[in-house]
Amino acid sequence: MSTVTVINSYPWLFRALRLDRIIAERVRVFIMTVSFWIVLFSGAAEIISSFFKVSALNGYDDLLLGVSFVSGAVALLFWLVEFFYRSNLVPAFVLEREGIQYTFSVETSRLLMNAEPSVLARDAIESLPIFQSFARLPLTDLLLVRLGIPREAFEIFLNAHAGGVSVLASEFFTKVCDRCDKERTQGIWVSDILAVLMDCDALWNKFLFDAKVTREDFVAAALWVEYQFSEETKRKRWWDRSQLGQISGLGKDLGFGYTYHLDMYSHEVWPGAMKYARETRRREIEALEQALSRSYEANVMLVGEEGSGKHAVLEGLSQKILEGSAPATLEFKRMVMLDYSSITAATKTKGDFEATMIKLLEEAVAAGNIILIIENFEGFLSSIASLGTDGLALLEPYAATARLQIIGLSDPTAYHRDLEPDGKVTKLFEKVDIEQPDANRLLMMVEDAALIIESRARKVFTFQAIKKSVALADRFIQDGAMPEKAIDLLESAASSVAVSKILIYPEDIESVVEKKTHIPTSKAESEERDKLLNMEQLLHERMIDQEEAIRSVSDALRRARSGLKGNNRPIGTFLFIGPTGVGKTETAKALAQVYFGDEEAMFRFDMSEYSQGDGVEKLIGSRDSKIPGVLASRLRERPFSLLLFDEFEKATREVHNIFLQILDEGFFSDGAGKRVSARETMIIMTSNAGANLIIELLRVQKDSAVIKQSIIDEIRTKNIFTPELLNRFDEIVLFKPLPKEELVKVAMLMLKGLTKKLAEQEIIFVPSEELAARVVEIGYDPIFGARPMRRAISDRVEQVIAKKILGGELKRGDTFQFASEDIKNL
Amino acid sequence: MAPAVFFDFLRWHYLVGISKLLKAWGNLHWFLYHYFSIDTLAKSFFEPFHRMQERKRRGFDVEDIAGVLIMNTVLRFIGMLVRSVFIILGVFAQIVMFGVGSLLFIAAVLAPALLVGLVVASIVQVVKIFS
Repeated sequence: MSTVTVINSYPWLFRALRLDRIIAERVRVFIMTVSFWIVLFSGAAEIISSFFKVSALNGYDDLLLGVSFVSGAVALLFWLVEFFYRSNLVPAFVLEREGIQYTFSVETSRLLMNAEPSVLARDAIESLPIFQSFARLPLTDLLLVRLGIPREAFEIFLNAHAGGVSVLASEFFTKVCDRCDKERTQGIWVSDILAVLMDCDALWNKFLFDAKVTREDFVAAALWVEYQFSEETKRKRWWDRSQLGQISGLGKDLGFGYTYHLDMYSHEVWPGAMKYARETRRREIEALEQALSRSYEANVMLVGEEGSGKHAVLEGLSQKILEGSAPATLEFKRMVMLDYSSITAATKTKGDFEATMIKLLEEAVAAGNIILIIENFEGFLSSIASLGTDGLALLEPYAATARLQIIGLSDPTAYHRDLEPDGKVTKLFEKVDIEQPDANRLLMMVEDAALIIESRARKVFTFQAIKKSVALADRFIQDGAMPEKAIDLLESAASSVAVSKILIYPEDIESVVEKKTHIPTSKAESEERDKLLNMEQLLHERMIDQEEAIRSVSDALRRARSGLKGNNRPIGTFLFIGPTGVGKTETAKALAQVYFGDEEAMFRFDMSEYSQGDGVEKLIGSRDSKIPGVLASRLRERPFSLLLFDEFEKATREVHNIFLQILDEGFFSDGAGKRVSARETMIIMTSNAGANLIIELLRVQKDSAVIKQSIIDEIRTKNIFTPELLNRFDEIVLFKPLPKEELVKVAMLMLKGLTKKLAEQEIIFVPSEELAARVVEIGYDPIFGARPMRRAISDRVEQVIAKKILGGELKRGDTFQFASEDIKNL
Repeated sequence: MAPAVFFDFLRWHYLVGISKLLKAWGNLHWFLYHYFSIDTLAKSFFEPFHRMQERKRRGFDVEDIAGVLIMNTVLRFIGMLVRSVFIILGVFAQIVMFGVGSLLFIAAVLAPALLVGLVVASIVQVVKIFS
């Protein structure tokens, strides 16, 4: 790699910025303005005095002339200086490497020039002067606020940072250019200088680390803030075409017709407040321009999810038209959004409606500069179809020619379902998809929206809060599309935090998401950490034996909550195999209680209900019936939950196949084609497959691993589950039949459940070991496991207690224990 | 340092500054031309006002034809009149801009001499007032 050479060690930009150190810009502008007005008035008075002989001014001629000369000299001097200053506020070419020239932004130049005017001629770069200069930069205060770093903390860092470090200039600038090459840019921003200093200066690195600011966050936030400042700087050169071009002209619509009737049923689309809209949606806007510039059938169907930014694209195009930077074919066009619901409301019959529509369309054609926008295009067609009108037939004579341009808006599901099958739509309208923006563009869009929310709510988002909103909305909010989901979170956070609190932190965004979704998005807090560390113990409060199963599940959960799990799969996926009545469902319930804090967080699917051909439809919904699937609805209502699929082997193979994607990627598409996430869900499937084999193997084999492998082989051989499905589980958990001595403990747990129920009636029930042993004796079944014991308790034990309560033998405040005689008679 | 800064400024002023000033001046003329939509209005100069036009009814009706002809002529005339106002305003703005721009350009070209002259004149005038 060749070395970096400084091609201009003291650019004009540096000299211009030096003026700020002599006299502040606002002082210069003030002097220039005042002296200009003085010269104007004194000059005018002098002329009046000389030519019209005004008596009041007699004797002041010399004074007026003197004032004119002095103020004229000052005004001229400051005008020249200001023109010099503003003309040079543009990035300057400073470095070169391998024929590529790199520019310093205005703020980068200010940073380095204020640190040391001859910085580019030096052999070494000192870090401390750069930090001191950074402390004085106009953008620094805002940047520190965005990063959530108190100014005082930065001052303490500066004071403690005695001496700083010294780096070879060639080495330093090589690193800076390397960063630019990596980012594929030739502009060097403040963030680049300070990011390279993170590599050289350990204290700076530590300061940011302690402030919980990552390098990526620092760079992105600094870029955002500097971008805002650079826009401000551009505005200072108001005579540039880029600035003058933003002013819309006079009389542009004189060549076009009036649209009295259309105006009654429509509204104009004006440029939005989103500054980056054009940058972030450049591809879509260009596609729109291209399609609308065709000589015929110049219509577009803009297809994107609700909230994906269709309006931002329209506003971006409107801005380009207004500035005159759109193609010549779109010059002076008016973008008009049709309010078709008002037309249908105002017209009663098909004839009235069609007459009104034709009048509006003819008017739009006659005006000659209308781009007609129809929102929810499929809704428009179906709404007027109810009146008996064929919307496409109505629009076709206009849309098929160059007389009128139409933009329809639709979402992907509706487009594929209702519009695409109609050949006319695909013939007349060119489809432009709103693509999911990449992470950088998405962040820019949300930053853009954050500025608007801030000005309205009088709050300030930290950069981390904005980034958090993007991450959490993408991960946890099921409905809608990005960036609107993230913007909604910012809106909610701005309105939910206390009025007295100005700054909005990532924690505020987390709490909004927690309120909306009931998902604990924050990192494991101490209580949860304790729960996870003691998971086995907590599960054993409800579970007897099944050590291995409980350990497997606990290990998987700890992996998930410690952040080791990728975000692209469910929290945990388990296949519980074993005979009936050994605690598979009970384990799931215990998990829901311990992990999700509520047994209600478990939703049980009896998979025998999905053993017919309509299983998939019942589960994920169907496009034709428009009935949402049970699984899709449940996940949308409560994404942070435990789903238990009982006797999974009974479901059809098609149902099994759906779970291949869910277990692997954590989402599926419902019947309507909408994505449903299961990434915050724990999925447990139970199966009795191989139950007999387990019992048989346990008689001859003690090693659980060998038994488990044999069962898995059996399941595979009998093709109960495909190998693809089995491989996708985090853990296949073997539940062994419980020995009789353990069953007494299970019976005790069940009787404790009865104790709780009686305590609600203020009756104290004391179960005994003897009673538990009797329950086991009555209820134990080697095939059905512990399940009949529950029946034994309800049929025998509860029966006796019920009779005693009804007979008045047991009352509020009594303590009751079964006598040995009663136990024998059960 | 001050003389160095002054000569530095002079170097920029004559090597770069004057051409930047000319460009800015040109930009302002470009802006006025577009602001008053001079080209658009000139291209559509003879078109009716806001494309308003009467249409002839079916059949041969001399009275109707004459009425339509007169109305359309009037509408075209109104269109021309309104466009003329904007075009004249635009041309006037261009003339004013040319005048102001010329003055500023001359002031910029002669800036050093003008500045020295103004300072000298100021001193002379101040001396005159106080003597």
